[in-house]
Amino acid sequence: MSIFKTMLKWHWIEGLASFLIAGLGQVFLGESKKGLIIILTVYLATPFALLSALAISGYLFLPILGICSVLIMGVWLYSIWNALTYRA
Amino acid sequence: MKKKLDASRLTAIIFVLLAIIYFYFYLLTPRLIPNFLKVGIIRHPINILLMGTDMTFDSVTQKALPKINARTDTLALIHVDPIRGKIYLLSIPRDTLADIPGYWPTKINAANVYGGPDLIKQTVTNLTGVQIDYFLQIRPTGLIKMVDLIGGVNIDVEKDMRYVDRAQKLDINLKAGQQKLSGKKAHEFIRFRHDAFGDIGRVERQQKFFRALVQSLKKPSNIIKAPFAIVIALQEINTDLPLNQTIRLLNFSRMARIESMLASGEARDLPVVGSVWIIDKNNLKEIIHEHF
Repeated sequence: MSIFKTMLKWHWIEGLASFLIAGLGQVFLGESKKGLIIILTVYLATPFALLSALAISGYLFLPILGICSVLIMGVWLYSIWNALTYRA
Repeated sequence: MKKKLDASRLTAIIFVLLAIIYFYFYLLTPRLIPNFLKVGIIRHPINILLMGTDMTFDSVTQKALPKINARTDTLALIHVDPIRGKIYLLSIPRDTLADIPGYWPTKINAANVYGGPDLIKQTVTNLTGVQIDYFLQIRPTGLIKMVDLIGGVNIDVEKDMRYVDRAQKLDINLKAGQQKLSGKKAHEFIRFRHDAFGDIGRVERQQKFFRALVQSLKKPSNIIKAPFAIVIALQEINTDLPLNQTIRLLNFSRMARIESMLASGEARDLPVVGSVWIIDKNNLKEIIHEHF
């Protein structure tokens, strides 16, 4: 029962926002700096790293793709969890 | 204190918003992105010879010999056209009568056995007049692994298919109907040719499979599997295509429309060579002129 009580206090709208766009939930919660860092990491830094690696070499691209995939998934999940369980 | 929304802040917000929109389009519906905004793809048209080889088994150990230059059961000339956003696939039936340099005219599927990829590239160039930039040779095990990795391909199997060939370790058993084929079943589907249409029927099934495969590759969930797909490709595909071009090609195939074609011709029985497919040269010229 206590778990349901805790879940009732979660920020579901912000969690959903972070699910749709990583970092958006943090922006909604007033954590603009954190939200912006997440947005820039997921939507700009990692795609840029991938394209740069591909431009240099296919063999460099493979490990970078692995690292970026894990990084994006990790940051995205963190963004959702962080928004859901946010405490001011 | 409320921060002022000045021009530079507004520009940064718009830039970030556009990056987010682009990210989702690239991931979910890449075909809707205009050509000049597509990144990480092939930039110039290229011609690739796609070869699917059968397996040769050691007569003593009965184990597959993957390094042997086997006959090409599947042969297709692919023209990748990033300007038109299309991939044209011209199938060449395995029984096509061709002039193999240095040999008597015979079935084209023997060229790989006689002289490997270089000879078959030359033979196809002589037949079509198209200069081939790269070849891509995939073994049956590679195809099976690749299809399994992407979770199978959805295909409408037009009829029940049953055929057993112990020498080739082939046991085809497919039921008619729309279904998701595993790697093994997909391999059976593209190998089957024991009906009234023979090899031509098989070529049509191979084209159908190729379209279904590319359709499956377009699923966003399969993008996560890309590193594994590339590892399989490195192990199972023999090619002279550089790795970064292979990656760009795989990415481009998510965005491209596929058009498959087959030059008309007629089946004939020739002494010594046996049953062959004689391609209608005029029809072939028209196809090449229009698409390549």
